[in-house]
Amino acid sequence: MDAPGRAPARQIIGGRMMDFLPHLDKNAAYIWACYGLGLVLIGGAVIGVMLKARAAKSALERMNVSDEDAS
Amino acid sequence: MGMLSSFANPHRFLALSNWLAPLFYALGAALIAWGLWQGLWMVPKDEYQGGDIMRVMFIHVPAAWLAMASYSAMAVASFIWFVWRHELADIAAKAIAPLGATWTALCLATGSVWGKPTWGTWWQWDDARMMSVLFLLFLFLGYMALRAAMDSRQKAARAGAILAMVGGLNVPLIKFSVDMFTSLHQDSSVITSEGPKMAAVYLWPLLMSGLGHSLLFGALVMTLMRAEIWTRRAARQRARLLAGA
Amino acid sequence: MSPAPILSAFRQALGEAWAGGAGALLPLGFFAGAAVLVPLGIGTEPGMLRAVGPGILWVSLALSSLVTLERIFQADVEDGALDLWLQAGAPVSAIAAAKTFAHWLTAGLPLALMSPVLALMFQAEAGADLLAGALIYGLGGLAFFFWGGVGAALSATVRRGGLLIALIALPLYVPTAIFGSMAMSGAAGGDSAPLLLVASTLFALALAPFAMAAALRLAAD
Repeated sequence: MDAPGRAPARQIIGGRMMDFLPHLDKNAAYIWACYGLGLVLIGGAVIGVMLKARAAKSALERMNVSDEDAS
Repeated sequence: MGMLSSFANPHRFLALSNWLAPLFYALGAALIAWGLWQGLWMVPKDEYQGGDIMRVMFIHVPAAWLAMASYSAMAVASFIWFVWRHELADIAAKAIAPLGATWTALCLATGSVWGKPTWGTWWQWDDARMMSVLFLLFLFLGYMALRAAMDSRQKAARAGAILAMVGGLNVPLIKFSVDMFTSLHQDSSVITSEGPKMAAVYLWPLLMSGLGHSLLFGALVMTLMRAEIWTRRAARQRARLLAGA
Repeated sequence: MSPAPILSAFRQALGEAWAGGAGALLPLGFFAGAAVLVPLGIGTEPGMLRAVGPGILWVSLALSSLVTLERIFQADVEDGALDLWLQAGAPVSAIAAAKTFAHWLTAGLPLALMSPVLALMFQAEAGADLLAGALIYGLGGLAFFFWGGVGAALSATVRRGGLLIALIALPLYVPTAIFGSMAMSGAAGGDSAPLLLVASTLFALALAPFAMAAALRLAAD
């Protein structure tokens, strides 16, 4: 992770960016993996639920429109 | 019963959830964000618990809490539906299942990733909590598969309620047997995340993360329930149109 | 309530299970076949086989209970026997329990009785432990059949419900499998395991009939 050879490159590319990330001494990859899993699973759940709700709502609205057309 | 019956009315539920769900989304997201900020940036690492890796706690422990709580909620909703036949209780149980399975899977996945640097293995058969949560996931999957296999909504509701109640009664026994199984095998290297004394500096971010995840979960359940109510209304409408035509 | 419908359902289930499964031969063949596949897969080192033998027999027992239970209630739904019981006001939970018990008698008990032979093949020492083991497999099998019966009743109207039964029943098998294998191994701290096995089997016998009855009432609608 903290190979001395990489430090300059890191400073050039994203010195500012790195300051914003939390400082993790070890196991950083595992920690990011956990929060990444959380983002994917919870984000996926939120998106899936939203899409489902929108689809249900529009199906109901279509139904009501066609009901008015029929009557 | 008075409060229950006010929740039993889909019309009132739609009105209530129309403002309650957005509130829960906002509060949940804010609390989760605060917990993340505290957990990843502010709190000092605890060398006693393996250094920085304990920062995973702020997502793993809320997921574990929701895994247990959501199955209990599903079993209670199933019981309410089975006894009083409130349609909304069935809608709630149906909505909880996939979301509960998601958080249960998250608990397993983060526990596994946490286990690798801590125990040196991705999967620890001797850890009672991992095994209990795994069986909880199977209970959720069985519930969803059974509902999906039924050919009518009424049958899905009844079969699901029976299974959720049987599963709910079995959960304490499963947990007890797994505890006993693992206590025979447990090796001393296991580090417990819920130690007997947890410093207040960790406790507050943890509690707030747990509350945030619960609020987000509640908001998602409400949205799914709204979607189910709309779907059922559309189906009734379709049936009425067909009958009238 | 007269016990007549319960007895007749029991007798009929016993006859069906016995005739439809070539006596106890079919379940026994499946049980032995499943167990014998394992050494082919993991090797034949005697120490290892002795260690894993009891566990393999538990897994084989669980699998054979799932396989034999798939159609236990489906025929009653299809030929209208279930409707007749319900119309006659017969106690469905007792009938379901009697049928499940009949299937355990024809497909579960023979496996328990055969377990000493398989245990010997897995390098166990000959002795009284083998008979105690048969008793434990019998008790555990009874719990397997009753929880599996709940899965079978719930999926009685589902075509090809076998996999569904397995998914539903396997988490419910966990306590029995754990207490059973602990009782077999006689591990340190496992002294209470036989009692816990009895208790969890009694729990299954007490709860499962009502769940099966509720599920069968739903299947009849």
